[in-house]
Amino acid sequence: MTNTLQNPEEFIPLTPAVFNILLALADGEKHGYGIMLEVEANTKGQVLMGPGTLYGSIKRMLQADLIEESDERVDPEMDDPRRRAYYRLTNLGRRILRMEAERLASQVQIAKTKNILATDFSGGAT
Amino acid sequence: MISERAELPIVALSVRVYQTLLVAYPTKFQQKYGTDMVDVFRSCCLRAVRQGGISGMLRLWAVTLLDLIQSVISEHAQKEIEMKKEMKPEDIRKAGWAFILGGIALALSLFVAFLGDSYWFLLTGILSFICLPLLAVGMLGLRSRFGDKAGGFGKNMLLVGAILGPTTSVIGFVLQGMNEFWTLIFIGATILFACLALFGLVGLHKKPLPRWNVLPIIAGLWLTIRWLPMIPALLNVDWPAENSPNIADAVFLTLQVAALVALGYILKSDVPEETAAPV
Repeated sequence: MTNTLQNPEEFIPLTPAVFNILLALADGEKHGYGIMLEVEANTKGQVLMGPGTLYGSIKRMLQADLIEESDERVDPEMDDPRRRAYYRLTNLGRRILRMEAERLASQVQIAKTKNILATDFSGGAT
Repeated sequence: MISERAELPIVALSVRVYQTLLVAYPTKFQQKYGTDMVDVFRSCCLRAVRQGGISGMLRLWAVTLLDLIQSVISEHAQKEIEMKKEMKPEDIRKAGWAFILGGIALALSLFVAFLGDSYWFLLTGILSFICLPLLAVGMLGLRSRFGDKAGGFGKNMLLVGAILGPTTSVIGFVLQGMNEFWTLIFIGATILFACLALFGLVGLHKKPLPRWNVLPIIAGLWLTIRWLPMIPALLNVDWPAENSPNIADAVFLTLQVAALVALGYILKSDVPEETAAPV
């Protein structure tokens, strides 16, 4: 199914699940479990995504043309002979990821100008 | 590393339980992603056992159950949005026309029936095969376009009436040779009109239509009032003489037909713009 939204800005802001999945796929295609592991590692275990949230997000991202299925194959790094579906970013997905990352970076910049980060890093003093 | 071939009983059991729980998802989602989800869950189980033993498994189950509840709710909500998208503006317009044509077919059948001797046979035949399916399509269009504003009860009434009404009636027509089944024709029609009237009753309070919110109740009420009390009698005896059509029938049925046509007009002329589902 193709996306009916014309303006990429309508995707922004992304949900944490969608943002983290796009980020996990930024450096190459992965299967579902690989995405889950990468998200967990990237967020230091703060975002724990179950199979339902993972595949629900994948379904909607495929529909919105943010990612695409590449092929099904066995993961040589896993001791499991099952074939797994691999997913990769589309050009639109990469563009949306960059826009969201820029939005978050500008938010962080605002936080810095208000000395929020410095305060937090110094041990929570007010 | 624990391989699939050396799968522990706790992992095998957990995977089987998770597989069973997947029935809670919408069927299409389950068919498309169920196998992948089970594979991912199996991999999670193997890792949880390897890293944390039984307590690792318990933690995994806690996270998975929470995820399952959230995502089942989300997928069912998404399914509802997709169903609405499937009913495109053009379909809603057609549903409006179905209401209008159903109303006209009902009017014609009543007119012919008042003239002829074989009143009920002719009326029920036309009702079963022309009016009711058309009116059912109209009700589904009404549900799709204005159902949300009417709330859960009103929406469900339209769905029940649109499905159960024509189905019951057509089954009754097919089986009318068997004495005990022919009354299903009237029961089906009564269900459809009663459900439309109940939607109308809710509509008087919630006002789902852009105008003329009294129309659905007028469109469903008279034949419901007329036929509902007759059903018990129909199950035992021939048509009671005192219930033969009279002038009041003619007036109220004309109003009912006019309301059906007007509902169709509203439906076909008040069509929404297409919207996209959020990611």
